[in-house]
Formats: sequence, C-alpha cells, structure tokens
Amino acid sequence: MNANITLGQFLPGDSAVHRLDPRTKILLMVVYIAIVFVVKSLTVFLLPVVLLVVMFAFAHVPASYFFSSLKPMRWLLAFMFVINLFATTGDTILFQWKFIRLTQEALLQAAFMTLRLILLVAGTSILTLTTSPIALTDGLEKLMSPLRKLHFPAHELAMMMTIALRFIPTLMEETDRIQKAQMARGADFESGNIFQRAKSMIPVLVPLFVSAFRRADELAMAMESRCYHGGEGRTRMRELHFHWRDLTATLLLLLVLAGIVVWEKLPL
Amino acid sequence: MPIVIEQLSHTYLPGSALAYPALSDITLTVSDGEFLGVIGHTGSGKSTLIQHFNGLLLPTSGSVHVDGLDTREKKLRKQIRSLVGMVFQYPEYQLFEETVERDVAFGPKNMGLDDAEAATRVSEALCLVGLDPAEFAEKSPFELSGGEKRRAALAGILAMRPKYLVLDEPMACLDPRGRREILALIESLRRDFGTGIVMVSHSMDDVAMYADRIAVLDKGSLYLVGSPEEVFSRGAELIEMGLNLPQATQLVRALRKRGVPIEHDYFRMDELTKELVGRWRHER
Ligand SMILES: Nc1ncnc2c1ncn2[C@@H]1O[C@H](COP(=O)(O)OP(=O)(O)OP(=O)(O)O)[C@@H](O)[C@H]1O
Ligand SMILES: [Mg+2]
Repeated sequence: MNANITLGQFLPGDSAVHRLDPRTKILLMVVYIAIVFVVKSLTVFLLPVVLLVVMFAFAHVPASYFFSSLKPMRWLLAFMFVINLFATTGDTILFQWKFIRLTQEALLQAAFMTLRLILLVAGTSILTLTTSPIALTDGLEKLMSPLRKLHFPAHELAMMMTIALRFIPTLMEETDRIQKAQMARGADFESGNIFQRAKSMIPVLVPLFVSAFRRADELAMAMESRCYHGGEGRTRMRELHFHWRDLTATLLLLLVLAGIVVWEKLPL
Repeated sequence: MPIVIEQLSHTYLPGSALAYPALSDITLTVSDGEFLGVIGHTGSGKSTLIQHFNGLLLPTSGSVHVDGLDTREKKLRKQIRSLVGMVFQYPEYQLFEETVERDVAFGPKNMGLDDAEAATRVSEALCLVGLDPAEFAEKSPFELSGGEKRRAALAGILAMRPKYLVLDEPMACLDPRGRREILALIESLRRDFGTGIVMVSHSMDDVAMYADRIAVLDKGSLYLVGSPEEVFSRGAELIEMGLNLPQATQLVRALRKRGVPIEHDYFRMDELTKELVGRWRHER
C-alpha cells in the first residue's frame, strides 16, 4: 500500500477548523484558491503564506503533514520550476554559459509559480485533512442542491462520491492482498519492459474487478433491503448548521481577499 | 534445512505518523517436515509473521533464512517462493485464468517449467485436492462452487511442489466436511511428501490435533512455543489472551469440577474419548 499519499486523507480532530461547517470550508477554499491566483507579485504572496500557516496552526495539523502532502507532487514541482527558469525571458542576466542563460526575472517567475502550486496543494489538503469524507460530500450535496431544480442529480452524485471514497481503502487493501497472493505463485511485477509489466497486472486486475463487482452487488442489495430509493424525501441523521464561527471565518478571509486586491492595485 | 527466523521485528509504514510495530523480536525455527500451528488473538501479528516466510514482507530488523537463503536478497526471492508455498485466507479470490488448468499452471510457468512438465504438475495437483482433472481442467474457475474454488486455488500452490506450505486460516468459512477434507489433505502432504506445514488457525482443536509444535503470538511478540501439551497446560494464560482451549481440555476441566478424577491433561478429542470409553467399560 502506498502510505505516502496524504492528499485526500482525513485527520480526525476537534479544532476550530474541524468544527467549521463543511459548506463554509468548501466556499472558503474557493476564495483561497482565488486569492492564490489573484496575487501577481512575490511580496504580496506573504499574505496567503501567512494565511496557510495560520490555518495549519488553527487546525492543529502537524507540519509533517504539510510536507507529506507535497511529497507526491515533488517531481511536478521540480519540473515546473525548471521549465519556468529557462522558458522565461528577461534582461538582468545572472549567469550565462553557452546558450544557457539565467535571468533574474526567470528566477523570480520560477519561484513564484512553484510557490503558487505549493500553496494550492497545501491549502486544499487542509480541507481534506480537517473534513471527514462524509461531511465533505454532505457539504457538496447541500451546495449543489439548488441545481436540483434543473434536474441536476445532486444527491446521486454525492452518494456516488461517498461510496467511492468509502471503498478506496478497501480496494487498496484488496489489491495488496491479491498482488501478494500472485507474487507467492512467482508472479513478477517489477521487472520487464512496460508491456510485460502491463501484462503482468492481469492476474491482479481480473480478481480485483471480480471482487469489486461482487462488493457493488452486495452493497446495492444491502441498501435496497434497507429501503434506499434515492434522495427524494430522505432526511439526514446530522443536519448541517451554520454557526458564528462560520461567519467569522468567512469575513476574515474576505477581508484578506479585499486587502490583497487593494495591495495589488497600489503602486508599491 | 529449516526456516530460521532470528530476532525478527516488523513495523508497518515505518517513519510515518502511522507507523505501527506489528512484530517485535521473534526468534523461531520451522524444521523440515514439521507441523507448526500458529495461534493468537485477532491483530496479534500472525498474518504479518507468516508473510515473512517467503519474502512477501521483509524484516524491519532481524532476519529470515529459508534453507539458508536470506529473504532480503532480491535474486533469491524466486527460489524462496518456489520453496515456500503460501495459501492466504480466502485463496479463491486469486483465481483469474479462463480455465482451471491454466490457473493452476500459473505458478509452475512462473517457475520456468516447460508446458509438458507444467501439465503433469497440474493434473497431479488437481488429483491431490480431489478435483478430477477430466471434469474440471477445462472449466472456468468462476463457475465452480465455493469449496471447489478453494481447492482449485490450493492446487495452484501445490502444483509448485513447495517444500514448505504456509497456510493462513485455510478452513475459514468452510462447512465441517470441507474442513475435514482440507485438514486431511494437509496431513497427507506431510506424510507422503514430507512437506513442512505452518498453519495459522483460530480452531484450537485443529492445531491440538495436528501440530507438532504451537507458536502463541500475543501483541506482536512470541509468547510461547511448545508442544500442544505444554501450550494447552497453560490454559489460564491463553484465556487471558483472548484465546480458547480445545474442546477436549474444556471437557476434562468440566468433568473434574463435577468430581470425575481424570489425571491426564487431554487436548485431543480422540484420546479423551478413548479414555472415557475405557472407564465406562471398566465400570460396567
Ligand atoms: N498493511 C498494513 N498496514 C498497517 N498496519 C497493518 C497492515 N497489516 C496489518 N496491520 C496491523 O498489524 C497488526 C497485526 O496484523 P495481522 O494481520 O498480522 O494480525 P493477525 O494476527 O493475522 O489477525 P487476524 O487473526 O485478524 O487475521 C494489526 O493491528 C493490523 O492493524
Ligand atoms: Mg490474519
């Protein structure tokens, strides 16, 4: 199993951030993403950085989670950095060797783009780290429910997401188990070229699909025998409620957004 | 040569926030042709331990040697896996080929055997598990019954002619007759081919009946290894660990409580039955 995937992982807790309404958190995440994209200069970037640190602190998430959320992204980040470093043109030459030229503008641009990506990933991982998958899909369903008037299947989509999220660990475990069982019969997943490797996955994929279909079937049966018939008239066990803290958080973030827009416009 | 496990420790997800020490400091030897039973409460690390026997898991510290071959050596892994056959819980979920014959041949083919040799091994293994090759070889594994699927999967491992056979709760969810048949098969492998057996089981009666030695795991440590007599004479400790006693031992205790003097500590039902029948005849 891949243990390094912090992306999309939930860390149970009881912090102020955990207790925010999922709808607030989703909406605030949209605002946060907007902020990260609106910022155009390196100095103003200080604000979202501070914001991120404050969010991590309030959520009581250890800094190690910040780094492990970036780990799967490290090659993409490095790639972005290098591409921007050499693809950006500029006048202030810092270093030149044959046709390789490094300019100050390129260095700034590369740092800027990489930082932007880091802020995006780390920010969204705060959302998933502090919101249980159930709360997340509940929030999404509620947010999408006005679209039901347009025959948009909000409930069905949310239910599909909940089930998918629920079964990701199960399927990972299952893959691990089948893979081990085939390895015990001498299957080799590690050597050979890409085609041989793809072919060597068949003994894993076939049993995996068989069991996924079996599970889906059993789940459908279990849901139906408990009278599940879609979202019509369905009530919830836990209703979502907005609290004062939701309003406070929203106002704070909007303030930061306004501040950034003003700062960007001011000639500094 | 035996399987030698020395000071084995295993930590899942080492170095992460979720690190979990599943095994610590286990030293154990499985001799040729021996039947070792492994018991322990749920989560005690039985499955983790046996996956070390063929290098599916590698020691975090310590070592595992199979006939002198170190499981950490990548080059030796194929050889080790053909020496140690491994039957997981619910082995039927590993079937994938279009026909039973081809599925059973998967292991032998991976060992690099030619088609003729593989075919011999397939029919030999199918006969061993009691599936008639003429009837079952061409069937799809997915149209077999649950019990037949399990035997087909078992055949897939026996076709590799392993020197050691490691089984993780091989009888889970089988009916009494299915259980007896699988146990009889395991016992005959040992008798006829001298296969060394390591079997994880939740059934105290099965290990009491068949095992030469029993290893008791508790919270990732090896609490005790010894003959069935030695292990089941420490009933109080086993119950403390969330384990059970064999039915025969329980019956002996109940009879003693009611004043029937039984000197010997029985743990096999067949032996206790003999004793009780003997007494009954004597009294008449
Ligand atoms: N892949 C894994 N990642 C992290 N922890 C694991 C993993 N597999 C097992 N564990 C943990 O290691 C411990 C021992 O597990 P193991 O499967 O060896 O127990 P077991 O004795 O076989 O139990 P059971 O009788 O239920 O099969 C458990 O607490 C389990 O949660
Ligand atoms: Mg187990």
